[in-house]
Amino acid sequence: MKQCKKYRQWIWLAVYDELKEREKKLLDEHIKACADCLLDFEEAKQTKNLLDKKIQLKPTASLMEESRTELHQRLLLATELRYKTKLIKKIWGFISLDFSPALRFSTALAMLLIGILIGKWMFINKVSEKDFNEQQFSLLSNLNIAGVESINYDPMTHQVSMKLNTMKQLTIQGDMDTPEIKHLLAQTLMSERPNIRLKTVGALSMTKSFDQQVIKALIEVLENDENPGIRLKTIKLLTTIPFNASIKNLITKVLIRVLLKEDNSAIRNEAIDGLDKLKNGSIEPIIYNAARNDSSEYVRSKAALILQRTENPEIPKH
Amino acid sequence: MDNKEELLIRRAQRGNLTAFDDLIKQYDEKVMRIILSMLNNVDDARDVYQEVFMKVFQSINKYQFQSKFYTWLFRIAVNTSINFRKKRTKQQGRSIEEYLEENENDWQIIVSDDSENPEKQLLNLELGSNIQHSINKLSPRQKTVFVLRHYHGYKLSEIAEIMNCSEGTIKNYMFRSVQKLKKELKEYRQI
Repeated sequence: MKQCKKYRQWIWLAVYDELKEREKKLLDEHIKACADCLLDFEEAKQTKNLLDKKIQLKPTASLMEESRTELHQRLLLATELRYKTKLIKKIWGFISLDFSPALRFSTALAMLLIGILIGKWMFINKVSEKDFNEQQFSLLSNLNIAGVESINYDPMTHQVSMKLNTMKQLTIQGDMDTPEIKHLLAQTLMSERPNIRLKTVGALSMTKSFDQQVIKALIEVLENDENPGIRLKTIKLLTTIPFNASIKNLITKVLIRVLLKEDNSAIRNEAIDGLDKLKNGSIEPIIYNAARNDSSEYVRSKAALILQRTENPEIPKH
Repeated sequence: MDNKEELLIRRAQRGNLTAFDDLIKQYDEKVMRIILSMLNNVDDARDVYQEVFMKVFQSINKYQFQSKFYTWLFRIAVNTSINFRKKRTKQQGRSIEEYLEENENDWQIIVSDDSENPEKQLLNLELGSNIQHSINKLSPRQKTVFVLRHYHGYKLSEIAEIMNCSEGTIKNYMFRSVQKLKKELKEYRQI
């Protein structure tokens, strides 16, 4: 029906409360008389309720604060650039005036001299990268770190950047293999924010060497972090890092503890894999215990396979 | 528009950064949410937030007080999001669904129905994902109208102002988008 076509659109407007009173009355009357439009109206209401099921996210206050701070920095740079552009335009306007050749020449000479002086001044004031690192790390010795705001790492440049909460917010950037950076990463592993801890583990997976402090912090995370995702990422990292004999012993002990105490079967599974890879001392009783008693069928069968392979090394790993 | 806002806009137009900061603080959370619902990607939303407000700062002198400030601002947010999506050939970063599987604290879940708790909402993840998939199939303009009306509660007349279109055009976009969604989500309805 031609009339129904108009009401089909009105039905949706009614569902979203966009009809005028007069239109509402007309629609009501039509629906009472038209079974097809009544069905359409019911379906529209159901569809609207269904669409409410989509999960909506709202940014937290800390995310907004972080975004505003970043924006403010960008705006400062933009303002500075705008000011410089204006200045250049003014100078250009000045030198484009119709001066006599002698005045033009002397103006150009004066500009050249000013340029040389500015260049020299900038060269003298340029801080070398080494000095920059020393300056930022010396700042740290006088500050108490209250928390970690954000952490970003760039595998291309091998640089990690951390925003720390101190009495004054400070951004530290440096090579991930620098001892001072590693010292900070060990601290960011203990951050209250799970995404910071997760990113730190990710950043550490890019480093080439690990010192005792970082390994201890990773072990602390593996055994005590409340977030299973972070624990899983940490165990994967700990079982792949290059190690000497003493670290090998330490990690073996930790993996045994994880296998016995960890609730999450995926992490226990990684522990089994790690122990199998390390092959440190006699771990058969532990593997045997896991093969018999672990609550996860997958872990039990993996432990059984390792035991079988110990007896017959020709059995493939997977 | 109240006098305080007008004053802030005029000061921001003269290049006062503090005034600009104060001005955008009133709207930037809404802008972030609009961008997220347009892009469905938490990482892109943060990038586009920066792009939007850089544009606002660079063009605030063009604001002539002829429309409400927020409709002018949201127009920039909507157009930037649409353009960003056009430029992106492939989805990068984490979708809302992927984000929810991680355990981060940057975004809060909004519970639309009081009777349901957040855990139960998470169980609706599959349905939510299908709804998002259907919304993504809408044309950019249909999607914008639908998202602003359904998820942000703006009246169609306000959306018309934001999108610089007539109310009749907006009603048509809305009708076409809900009809498409109704068809797409047919299997989830009880009738």
